[in-house]
Amino acid sequence: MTGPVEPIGRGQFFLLVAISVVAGGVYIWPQAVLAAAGQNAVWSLVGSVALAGATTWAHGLWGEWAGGPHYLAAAERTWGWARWGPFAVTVALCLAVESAFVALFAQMLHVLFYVATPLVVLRLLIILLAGWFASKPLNGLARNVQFWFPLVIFSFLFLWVAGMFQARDWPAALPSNVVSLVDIARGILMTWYLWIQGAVLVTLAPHVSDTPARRVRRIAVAAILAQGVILLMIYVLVTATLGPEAAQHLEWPLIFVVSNLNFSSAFISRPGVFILLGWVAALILHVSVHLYCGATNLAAAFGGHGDQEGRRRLLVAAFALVLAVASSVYTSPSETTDWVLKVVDPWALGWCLLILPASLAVMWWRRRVRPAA
Amino acid sequence: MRRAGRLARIVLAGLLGLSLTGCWDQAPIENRAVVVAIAVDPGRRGNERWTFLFPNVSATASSLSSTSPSENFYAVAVDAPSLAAAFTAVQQRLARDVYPGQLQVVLWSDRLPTRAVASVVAAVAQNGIMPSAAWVLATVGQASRILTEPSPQSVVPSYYLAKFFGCRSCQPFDLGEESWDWWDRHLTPGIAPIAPVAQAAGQTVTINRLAVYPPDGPPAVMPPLATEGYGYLSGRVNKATLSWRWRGQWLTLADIRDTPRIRVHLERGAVVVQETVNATGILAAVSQRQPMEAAERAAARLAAAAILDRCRAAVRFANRTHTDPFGYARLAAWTDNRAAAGMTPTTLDRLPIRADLTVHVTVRGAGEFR
Repeated sequence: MTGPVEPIGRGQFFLLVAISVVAGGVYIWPQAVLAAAGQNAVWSLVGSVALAGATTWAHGLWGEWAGGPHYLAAAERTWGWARWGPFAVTVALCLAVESAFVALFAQMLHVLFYVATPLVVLRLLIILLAGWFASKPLNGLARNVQFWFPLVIFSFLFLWVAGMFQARDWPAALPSNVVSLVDIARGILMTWYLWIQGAVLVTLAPHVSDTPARRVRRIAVAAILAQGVILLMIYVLVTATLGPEAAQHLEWPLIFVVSNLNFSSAFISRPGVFILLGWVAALILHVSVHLYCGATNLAAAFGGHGDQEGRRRLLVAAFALVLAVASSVYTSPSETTDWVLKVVDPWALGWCLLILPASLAVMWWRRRVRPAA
Repeated sequence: MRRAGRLARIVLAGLLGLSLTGCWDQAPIENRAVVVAIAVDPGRRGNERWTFLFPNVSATASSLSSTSPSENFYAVAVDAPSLAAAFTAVQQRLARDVYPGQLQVVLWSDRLPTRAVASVVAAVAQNGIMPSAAWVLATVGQASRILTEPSPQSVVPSYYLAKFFGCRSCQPFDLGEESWDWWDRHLTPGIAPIAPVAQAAGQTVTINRLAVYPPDGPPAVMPPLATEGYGYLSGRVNKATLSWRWRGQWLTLADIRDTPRIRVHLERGAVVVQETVNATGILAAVSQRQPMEAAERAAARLAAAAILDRCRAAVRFANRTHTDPFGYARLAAWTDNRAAAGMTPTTLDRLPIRADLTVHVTVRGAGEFR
């Protein structure tokens, strides 16, 4: 490294954590959770946000106990030479879900907006831009997120308010009066793709300026809760407009709802197109935060000598290339969605619930044995 | 190294510049045949007859005044088994690229059964470019005849039947249904899809009835009074008018609006409804010789009775046709999942309605003399 990583502000950290979850796969929300849990989906959402908040808090605690400037360093202090196992699984899960998001997003653009544009161009465009953002130093990336994320949220809020005028069936958004725990648990499983953050938090937390670890952890949990509110807003909009039965037939329910907005007397009669501007930015930033974190960890692991910033950029390019190849494997939107929900989701949730308590237990033991360390 | 980096940046900027513009999907408007409306009729050999309506591209802003209504639009008709096949067949007859992204209206004959309409609507929903916010209409007789009948109301590029519903609060009863509404109702148990019925009337149409689609078979057409009742029960009244003979003169309540309050539950194979319609109107056309208070009281009483009659007619129609265009069963199923758990979607679709209806009418003002 040519110099220490320039620290980021608390607000920037909040936005980086928020964009590292939900923003990638939100456009297929809430189809799967409705299919799995019906009107119990509200409880699945509450459970999912609570679980995501708890794992985020636990990740933060583990990062604080282990110390070190990034995830791999914390893993080394916990697992020693075996750190490459957890790191490889985390990176693999992250690549699996990110490549599916890129493929799905490109498929959505291709089906709904750019029919004649080849899919490969749309995929490469997203990855190129994400790689470009990820190649910047941390504070550059953070500034980009700081600039774009509010615009994404404002375009979403505008459409949400407009969409709520069209939503008529409020009882459909209410939870079921028959509570089925099995359905709720299945629903939670169907939401986990939203929260796969690949320990972004552990990599970024040490670089927040002048903030105690406990507060950083609270900011991260607040970011998760904020995204939970966005998910709830989308859920209410979709179910109150379409009802839970029809919504689960749609690949991209929110796109369907906002593209049906019809302001026949306004200058822009179909405002739904604004969602496109928001989501392109959201997905690119989401992928770029993950590319940044993956490359940073690996670059630091290859030793502290020489041009580490240059090595990090090369690794961003390498990760982007892997992402481009992996995202070209998926064929149809339904197959890609199935892969995310039925393969990646259970593995990611299982892995998270396995490695996180184990890491915390090891660190807790080490702190007991060597409290001074 | 630095030189390589600079080169990489130039290549990256070039690639982004070329691809971000989305050139592939760019097509000049003069090369496009923009579909504004589609009519669907029963066709030969199990096919449907599809008629596509296009604005006449030779009509320009300056030539519009000299273009007759019959030249504003042109139509192309084909027989095809599906919407996608119809697009291909229409494309083979046109020199321009057929573009569905500005579709405004889909009309279909009232002879098309639910299943055929469902596949048309699903095809519109599944075509990403085609807007699902297009208005839908059932037509008495051939849909293509109403589609191609020239109307002076249609001026390029908008088709008048889209304006008919798009004009906010213009119609006394808001019967407009967009394609996604129909799709949504069809997929949701406990509510029947509906479409306003258009009947040719010279160079325009009359729209005061609803076609209600049962789970299977042809639609049942709601008579005008029951359709008004449906309007009151579902809160779709914008500015209705009611008139009576009272003390030897006409008494008229105009600009009637309403807000219904609905309570439903499922009970012994029926959906039990308690609905209160709160309507307000403005007293119009009353003689100055009559005391105003008496006229207002009479109008409120007569209006309540008339609205109740219409609402009951709507519920009777639903029970007679075993349909639920109001969505009472759907609402009951959403609010009480336990009661709905034992019912199949078809049972919910066909549940009898036991309605306890109350109507309150308030006269919110009287026409002033100036």
